[in-house]
Amino acid sequence: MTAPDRIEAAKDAIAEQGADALEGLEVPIVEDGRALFVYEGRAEGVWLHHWIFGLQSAQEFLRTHPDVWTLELEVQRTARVEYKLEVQQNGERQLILDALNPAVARDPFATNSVVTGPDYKTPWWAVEDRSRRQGVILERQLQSEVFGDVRPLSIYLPARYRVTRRYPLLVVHDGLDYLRYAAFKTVLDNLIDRGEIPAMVVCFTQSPDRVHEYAASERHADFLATELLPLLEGEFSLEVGPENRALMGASFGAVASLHASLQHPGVFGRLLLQSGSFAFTDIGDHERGPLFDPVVAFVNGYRRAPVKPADRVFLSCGIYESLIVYNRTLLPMLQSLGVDATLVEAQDGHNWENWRDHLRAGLTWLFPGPLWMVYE
Amino acid sequence: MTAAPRPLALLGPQHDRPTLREVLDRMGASGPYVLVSAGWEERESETGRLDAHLGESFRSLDLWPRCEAAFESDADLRHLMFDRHDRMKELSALYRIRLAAELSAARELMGRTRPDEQDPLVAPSVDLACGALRELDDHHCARVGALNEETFGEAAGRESLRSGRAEIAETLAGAGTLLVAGGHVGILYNRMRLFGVAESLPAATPVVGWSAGAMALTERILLFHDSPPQGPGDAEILGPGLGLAPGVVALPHASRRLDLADRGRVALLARRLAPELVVALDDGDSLVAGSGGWSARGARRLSTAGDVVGDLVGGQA
Repeated sequence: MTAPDRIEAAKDAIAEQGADALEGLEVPIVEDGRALFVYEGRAEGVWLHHWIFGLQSAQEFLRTHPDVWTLELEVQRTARVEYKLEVQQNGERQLILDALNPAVARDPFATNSVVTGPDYKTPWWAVEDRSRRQGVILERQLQSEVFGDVRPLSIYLPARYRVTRRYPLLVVHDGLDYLRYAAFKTVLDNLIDRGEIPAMVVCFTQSPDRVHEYAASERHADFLATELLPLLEGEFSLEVGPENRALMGASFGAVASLHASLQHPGVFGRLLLQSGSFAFTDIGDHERGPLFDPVVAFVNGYRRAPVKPADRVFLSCGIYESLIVYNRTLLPMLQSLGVDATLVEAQDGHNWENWRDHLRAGLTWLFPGPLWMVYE
Repeated sequence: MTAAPRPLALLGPQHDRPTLREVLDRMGASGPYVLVSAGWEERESETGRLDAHLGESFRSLDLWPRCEAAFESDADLRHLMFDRHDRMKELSALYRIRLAAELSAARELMGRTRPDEQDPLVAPSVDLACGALRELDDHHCARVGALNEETFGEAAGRESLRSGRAEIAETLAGAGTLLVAGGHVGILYNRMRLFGVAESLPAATPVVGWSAGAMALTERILLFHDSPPQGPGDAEILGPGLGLAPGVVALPHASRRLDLADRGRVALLARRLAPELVVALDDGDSLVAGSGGWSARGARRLSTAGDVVGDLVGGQA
């Protein structure tokens, strides 16, 4: 296979001139499905770390000049890969951002460097457009008897919200993270303004102890159905009926959503589940650590005696995640129960930008908008 | 081919290539001009571009703010409309169950033959499938129509709408031409029904509607989009229109929203809606009713053979 020209030229230049050859280059160089990563600096070894399930996670760089290291990898055209560099200096290894790559992605735990295939584009629905009508976010506090503490809520009201209308409701797990890292408000403003989804009320919830409360916890399900929903229905003009109420979340938040809909049947009729941690074991033990114990017990039980959790379910998952297997397994099971369900697979991993990029498909699946009715 | 009993024109979108002024002049439709733009919802009053294009003043019926005020003051009216909304959703859900199946069958059968040839084996089955679709569309339209009559009949007597309906009737009595703008076709139709616009319009007053406004003037409103963000994009009947433009199904933005190069889809849509004239109304297009029937400038007919043609009469098969 012939290597792309820009990459070959850069490798030749680096071999001859070292760091001087990097002047003016955008690194990593991505061309025709391949990427050239570069590290500049003194080191005893350099590795690229990604989190792609099934591939060797540490890819070793080659020293192409005394202070310049390079690594050439295949990158799918629409892929988006988060990574870090591991650099060994004086016998010690350290994970760092790629200093030559300005593209980064954030999440609650870290910042990662990002490389994208040549056909990947940040979707329009995630880009703020001030010409579109803007919703507002209200802050509320919920004194929870279930949890015995106060829960902060951020509540999105669409532009033109008025009490003479009724709105569908969406409850989002890890809501503040979705707002911060997945541009959720921008997504809502864009999709509502274009008529792709109806104007809706969205409640962003955040748990102080998500790894326990989202792990198939009955208390959390009760909180949603018996405390949060009545509060929202009391204050806002909401449409009634499960077909107008949705739960969503990513990772453990997806588990919490599915679990709550099963604990309180007929309350939430729409589910948007992103990279759900639906781990199960048909034989033996899982190896995901004790936090997964209640999740695996829940999913195993659900697989033994499945019931319809909602009328419509949207699943998305990155193919670079180990969770893809569980999500693929869930889809036919839901469909066999009569659920109008779909699964979208992304060339991406377990991260917020993957979840952001699939909000359009998910939200329009749950709540198709009035675009159908608008002829300007 | 029947045309409207009054001077009437249906236009395509007016954003990029406005032709309203030219069509009004051609029709001899003079002022005072009265505008319905409730399909623009809360932007109803943003008429700057229309002002500039028309070059003379017009009066808005202000259906949007009138309706908002009525909803705020009259909880019973609000709940009447909520109830209609819920029942419409139920009717649509029922309709879509059969529609998906009937369309699937018709597409599969039509895929076994060419739209422009009469295959002796397949053609009778295609005829039956198209007939079943027409019957289903008619059935749904009639059910929505009955719901509309019930709802808007009850609404018409509400005190909260009384003064608005009277003012609108007075304005329309003195109107030279009624203009109906586009936007959200469901909201536009509902607001016009709530305030009795069609009933109050004198029989000879010319009417010009564009985009959703054109759809609302017809007898049946067809919703369509071959590639929506989700779903199969099955064109469906919303319900009856105001019936001022009989015998026509208006498809504004047709080139953007439909794959007009797909002869099978075009043929199926035309056959399903026959004998109505199914007309693509793109930017700059117009369809004007005259004594001899409809005349088109740019507007094209979807033929039962799967073509999109400028000749309005040829394919009324």
